[in-house]
This record gives sequence, C-alpha cells and structure tokens, in this order.
Amino acid sequence: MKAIPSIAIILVTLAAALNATASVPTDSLETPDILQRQMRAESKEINFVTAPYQSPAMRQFRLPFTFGTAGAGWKGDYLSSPVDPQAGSGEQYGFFNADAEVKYSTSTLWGGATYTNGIIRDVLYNETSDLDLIYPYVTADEVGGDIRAERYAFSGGYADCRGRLAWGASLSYVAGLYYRNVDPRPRNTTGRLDISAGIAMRVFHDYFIGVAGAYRKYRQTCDLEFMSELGDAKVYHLTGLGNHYERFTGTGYSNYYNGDRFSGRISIVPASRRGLTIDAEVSRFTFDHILKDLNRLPMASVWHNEMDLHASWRGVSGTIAYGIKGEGRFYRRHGTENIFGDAVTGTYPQIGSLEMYADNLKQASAALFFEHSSQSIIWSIEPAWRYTHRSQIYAMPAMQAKDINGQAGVTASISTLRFSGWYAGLSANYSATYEATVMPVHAFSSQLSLSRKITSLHAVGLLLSYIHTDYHHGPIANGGSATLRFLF
Amino acid sequence: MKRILLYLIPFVTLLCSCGDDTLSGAVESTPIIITIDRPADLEPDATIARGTFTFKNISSGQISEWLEGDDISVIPGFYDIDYTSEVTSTSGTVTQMKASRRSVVIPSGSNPVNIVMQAYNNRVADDLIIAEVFFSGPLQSSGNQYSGDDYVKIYNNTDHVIYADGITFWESKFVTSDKYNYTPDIMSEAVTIQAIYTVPGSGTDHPVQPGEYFLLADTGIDHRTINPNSFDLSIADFEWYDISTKPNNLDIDSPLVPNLDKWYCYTLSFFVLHNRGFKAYGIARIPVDSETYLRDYLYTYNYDIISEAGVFPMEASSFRLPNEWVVDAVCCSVAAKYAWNVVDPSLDSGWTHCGTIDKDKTRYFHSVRRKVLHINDNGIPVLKDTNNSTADFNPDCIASEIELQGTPVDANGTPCVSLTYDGVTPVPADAADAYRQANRR
Repeated sequence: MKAIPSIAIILVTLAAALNATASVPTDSLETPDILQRQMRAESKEINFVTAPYQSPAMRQFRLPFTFGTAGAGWKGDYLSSPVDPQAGSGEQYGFFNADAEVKYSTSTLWGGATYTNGIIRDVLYNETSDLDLIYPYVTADEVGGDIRAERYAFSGGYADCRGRLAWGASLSYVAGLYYRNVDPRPRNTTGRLDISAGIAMRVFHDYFIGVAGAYRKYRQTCDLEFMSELGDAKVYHLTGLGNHYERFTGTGYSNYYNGDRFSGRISIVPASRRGLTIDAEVSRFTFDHILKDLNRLPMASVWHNEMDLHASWRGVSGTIAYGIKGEGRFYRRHGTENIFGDAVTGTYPQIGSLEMYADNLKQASAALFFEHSSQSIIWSIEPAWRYTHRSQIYAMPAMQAKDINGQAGVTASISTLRFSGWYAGLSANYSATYEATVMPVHAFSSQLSLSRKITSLHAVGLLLSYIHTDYHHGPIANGGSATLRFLF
Repeated sequence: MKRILLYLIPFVTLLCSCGDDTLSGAVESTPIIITIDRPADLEPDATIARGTFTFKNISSGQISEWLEGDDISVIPGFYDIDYTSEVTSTSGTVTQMKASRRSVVIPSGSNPVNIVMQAYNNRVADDLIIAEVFFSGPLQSSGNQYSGDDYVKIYNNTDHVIYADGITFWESKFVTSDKYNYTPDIMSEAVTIQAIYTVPGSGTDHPVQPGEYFLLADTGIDHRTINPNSFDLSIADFEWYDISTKPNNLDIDSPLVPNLDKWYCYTLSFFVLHNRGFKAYGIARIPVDSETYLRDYLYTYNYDIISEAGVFPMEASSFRLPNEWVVDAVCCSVAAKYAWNVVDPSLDSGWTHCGTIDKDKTRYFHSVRRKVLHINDNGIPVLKDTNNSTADFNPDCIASEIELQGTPVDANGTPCVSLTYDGVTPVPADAADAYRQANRR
C-alpha cells in the first residue's frame, strides 16, 4: 500500500512526458494549451453524459485530448446530527489524488491513484464498513463512536480504435482499513477489484455500438474486539429495518462478507459526442455474510439485480452546445436469512432459509443543458429533475419503509480565461426535494476553480467546494473541500 | 446479439416482474398438528384443562402462544415448543401437566407438520428447593473480578420442617453453551455431574423451618476484609472446601463455617461456581453412601470434536445422578451462548441467566433468584416451582446477601438500599425483620 504514492508519481511523470510528445487526436481543439484543456474538461459538453463511458471501449471518446491532475487536499462533512446513524455524522479526511488520461495516436491510456486518511464521526449501530454495499446485514452495537478510515485506490485502463473497431480494458482496486482504538474495537479491511473489457464497432457515421462486461470481487473482513476486562457490549447482527438475528447476538465478532458482481452493458455512442447516446447496463451482485467465529456460518445472503438505462442527445450549433438526457435506475435487493439446527461441536447445520428482506427501487431522472462557449468564456445552465420510489420490506415481523420523493435542481456555471495566464471557474447548484415521504432536503453547493499557467502544458490550481444541506426539521450538514492541484 | 437478448429478457423480467413492495415470495406459515401423549400415571378420571402451546423461534427470538385446539401455524424455522395444562384429580388436587420439545424443525410447505409431545406430571417434590444461585461474583474497587463469595441458597417451600442432612449439592459436567452428541445418551435417566458436596448429619441435625433459607457458600469468611465491595459469608450454614494439590491455588478453610462433605470434584485445586453461569446446578438426595455411589455410578461417554482439522473422537468419564434422586435443578446460560439444556425437561425445561452475552459486564453483583408466588397467611413467601427456570426464576437480580447486608452493588461502592424477596418483589417494612430472620440475620 505504501507503493501507491510512488505509482502515482510514476503515472503523473509518464503522463506529463507523453503529453509533451503526444499528438492531440482528431478534435477541433487545435491548441494543447493547458488552461484551454481544463476549461473544456470541466465543461458541460464533456461532463453531461457519463454512463456509456464506463465501458472501457467507449471511454476513449469522452475526452478528446490529454488531460490530467495531481493534487492533495482536505475534505470534510459535518452534520449537526446523523441522518443515518449507521453512516455517522460526517467524515473528514486528507487525500492525495492523481488522475490522468493520455492520448497517443489512436490509443488512450488512463490511470488514477488515491489515498485518503481520515475519520468518520459518530457511527452508531454499525461496526462494519462499506455500508452501501453490504446493508442490511451489518454487525452492530449500541456504543459505536468515531472510526478511523484509510483508503487506497488505483485504477488504469487502455483503449484503442483502429478502423471500425474500438476496444478497451480497465482494472481498478480499492482497499480500505477501518478501525477504532477504544472499545468496541472494529478492524475492518475491505477490498474491491473491478475488471472490465469492452468492444465496439463503428456502424454509421461516427456512431459506435458496443458491448462491455465487468466483474467485481468484493471482500470485507471484520474483527470486533473488546479489551475491557469487565466484558463486552452486546453485539447484534442486523437483518434489516431494525431487526436482528437474535440467536447469534453476542457472538460472531469475527465475520466477513464475500461478494461477486457481474455486469454487462450495451452502448451506442457518437465519437464526436454529438447526437444520440444510448446505454443500458444490467448487473447482479451477490454476497454472503459469514460468521467466522461459528465455523464460518453463512448467516445471510443477498442478491442485488440492477438495471441502469440512459438516453441522451447532444448537439452543437456555432458557439452553443446543448443536450437533453433521461436516465432510469431500477434495482431489487433481496436478503435471505439462513436457519440453523442445534450446534454440534460448534458447527451449526443449515436446515433452511427464508427470504426476509427486500429493498426495491425505481428512479427516473431527466436533465438538459445549454452552454455558450467563446474563446475566453464558457457559461452554462443545467436544470435537472429526479423521481425516486424506494420501498424496504421485512417479512416477519411485517414492516415496511417507503421513501418516495421528487427532486428538482439547477446548476449554473461560468468559466473564463480572460485574465492572462489564469483560469477561473465557478459553478453553483441548488436542489430541493418535494412530495417527500421522509425528510425533505434543500441543498446548495458551489465550486470555485482557479488555475495559473506555468507553461503552455502545465498549470497549478486550487479547487474549493462548499455544500450546505438542510434536512427540513432535521439535521443541517455543511461540507467543504480544498485541493491544490497540478494540471498537465 | 440474439443470445445476449435471450439472456437479458429473463433478467429484465425478473427485475421488473415483482411489485414494488414484495419479496420474491411471501413467507407462508406452516400448519402444525400437535398430539399430546398423556403420562401413564395420569388418573383416568382427572379433568384436564385446555392447555397452552408456546413456540419460541430460536433464530429470531419471537414467541407465539396458541391455545390447545386452535389452528396452529408458524413460519418455517427452528423452534422450542412448550405445553402446559392444569390437571384436576378426582380428589380436587390441581397439578400441572407439561411437555417440551426442543430444537424442532418446522419446514416450509402447506402440508401440516405432525408433532408428538410426551407429557409428564410436574414433579413437586416435598423437599427443599434452590432459591438463589450467586455465581457471577462482585467487582473490586479496581474494577477487577472477585471470587470466593459465590453461594447457593436453599429454601423450605413447604409447610413443615425439612432436614437438610443428606442434601447433596451438585454441578453438571456438561455446559449449556456447547452441545456434543454424547453417547450413550442418558439424559432421560440421569444428570451427568462433576462436583458433589453433601450436607453431613444424622438426619435431624440441620432442620430448615418453613420459609427458612439454608446457605451453602464457597468460602465462609467475611469477604469485606479482602474486598470492601463483597459481603460477609461467615454466617453461612456450610461451605464447600477443597484440599488443593496446587500450591498456588489453595482454598480457604473458614473456622467459622463447617464444611460440606466432599464426595467428588473434578478440580485438583478448588471448586467455584461457573463465573458466567454455563452450568446446571441442583440438589439431590442420594440413597446410597459415597463409596457405593462413586463405585457404581461412573458414566463413560464418547463424543466427536469436529473442527477444520478433522473429526476427533473423544472419550471421557464423569458421574451420573439418576433423575429420581434429584430434588431440584436449575440450568443457567446466556442467550448468546445457549445451546441446550443439560438436564432432562422433567427436572428443568427452561434456563435462567445473569447477563445476555458471554462475559457480560452487567452480570457482576447479580444472581438468579426464584420468584415469589405469594405471601401466605403466616407471612411466609411461597416460591414458584414449576420445573421451568425460565418461568420460575428472576434473572439478573441483585444478590440477596448484598441486599440483606447493604453492601455495594457496583465497583464504585454504591450501597444497596433495596430489600426484596426475589430480586423484584419488595419486602414490606413490617416484614423485613421476619425476612432477615428467615435468612438467619
């Protein structure tokens, strides 16, 4: 893990060197000036559509030039009280991050590395990590507290386009270490390996149609310890909506999660980013929650089927870029609790299983953008809307939790190169939920980016962000980040 | 492409086919038909009231109750089932008929599951009963555990004098937290025990009056001189003393309290009650002398230890105590570790506890105490004795000696100000003296 900063340095150096010699691929952007590239890279025209570019074969069509950043900074979120106690009341951490995408001839190479080190505040009823992946089967107690969190991530990929054929492959790995030095003392290690590959074919004009497949291996090991001589706090194994597996309460301090995710996607993407884009992904994630202490007892298992749909249209007319998109997300996540007979010599024979938990979601969203570009100024506006219908169910005792809400928001951005050797970009977003069955939310966020050119290929910059979220009749959250960056 | 579509269509169908608010399939209850086999010695003309079935889902801990004759159905799972009914004999005597089945698998399906339960008449021995077991010990002011002041209180729940002479106190060999398939299985005939201490006497040396307690202590000294958070046990009726073969672990022989007659104990040092309460404790009247008993009642059994390294056949020996000699028994455990009862259901069909998890730090200063049914006309508490410790005992109670002596209830030295019959029922001010007298204070 200590090698990650070294890898990042090598990546950045390689990218900077390649940048000096690379020929910018076929794109209207003639000049490789760093600030021009930054302005384009942060524009709506580039960032409005993201889904299909998760296919490694299509990734090369996202950004038409070489661009990379390396930076270090600090990020923090503070909640006046937790919205979800299991997730804590905010996380603060310092980070180092490097990302680069390099174009060379017909090839695109990208990579990234991230290291974060910080603390998650006031986590309660949850002694595990990666809650969004492994819920609802978490190990919990009523003591909780702050958790130290260290994360390492690196990723890389390669794509190429020869004649009518485009292809690509990528790999990423994220690892985490989470712990607390007072009772209760969890020590969780997480590992997530993603591999994906895709292939696409030009079918007409500059349209590519392609398929991609991905596989994820996920594992989390959790060891909970109490050092106090006077004993332990009660440890529960939660099963959803406040229920727990009564029989194994107070046991299973060492447990792990073992999961696999398979996904496939089909995409239609215009290489010029102008015209119709369609993307559909289906995935299946399954994992088992296993109590290691009890001779690797498979307490519960989950399957999570998901489908993500995307359709958009982007166009350019003179100095105007515009686009519209619609997206849909549907998932069904079902949890099964296994039933065990009497333990014989510490081994519990499995005698049955019951599907007890379900979390079903339907989400639809739509957005459009309008962007005006000139040589020195880009400004844009993007209204967006989202509807969410989420229902969680527990079989016995019969329970249900529904979260139905609509959300509307608008983002306005402006960036300029008016000042010699400087780039400045400012964006602001406001969104609010309406008709919410749970806490309505008003959120405001803003981001300021300032960069100073060193050479025509390199710049240094500062990125500041602030977000304020007001949960009506609930907590107030404030967060921000500051990043010092090197751009190339 | 066709193949991809063929794969995608069922996947998308599966994703979208179910309603928003449903599981893949509803959890259907399984119908159950229970047949109660009446005990052979039941009076043919006795009147049996409509009984009650209690189903405890071992996985979820949920309890459901059904009246006899109702259409019973529960979700599939792993259950403990209990049955109780009142039997009125032709002479008008009311007794309880009970039946228990442990670890019953209820499979899913619409076909009824037939269960046969062998009922038995609840034994109400005309003898002493266990009123309290204090096994968890207190804490020292440093926060460390303290041992040596564990005790067992025996009680005369009858309306006449009973002599404690010959009463044997025992501890089970097996623990309630680990279950092995011991063969031969003798549980329906005997308890497997590993510590045997008997009250000496000619037969009439140690009378216990109705409503009076009889205290058996680990070490009969005033423990406050060592640990100010403990209490005085120099007033105990007897102590169990062991001649240790371990020089570093010697027992204390109090000159103030006579010793129980030690028949056998597994340990080479000295005997203490299981600090977390994973054993069964009981009292018995053994109709043979110790020599005969130790010669004729050895029990050799086999079991397998199954681990990742393989299966290890084991053989061990201990003593068996026939169930008909047992006067009273109480199984102890904690919910997080409970695996089984180590005595026959006719002796104890339930279990009680101090704490709910292993090494529970809330257990210190606490004991299990038998519930008071009512106070009789003579002002004497009548304790509950249905041979079901879950129902008969109050768990997690402040120990009675702590209450009687007003000693600390925590490591900080907070003195106890309550006085109860059973950890819950307060002793009225005008009855306090009588209660103390019954405890020989």
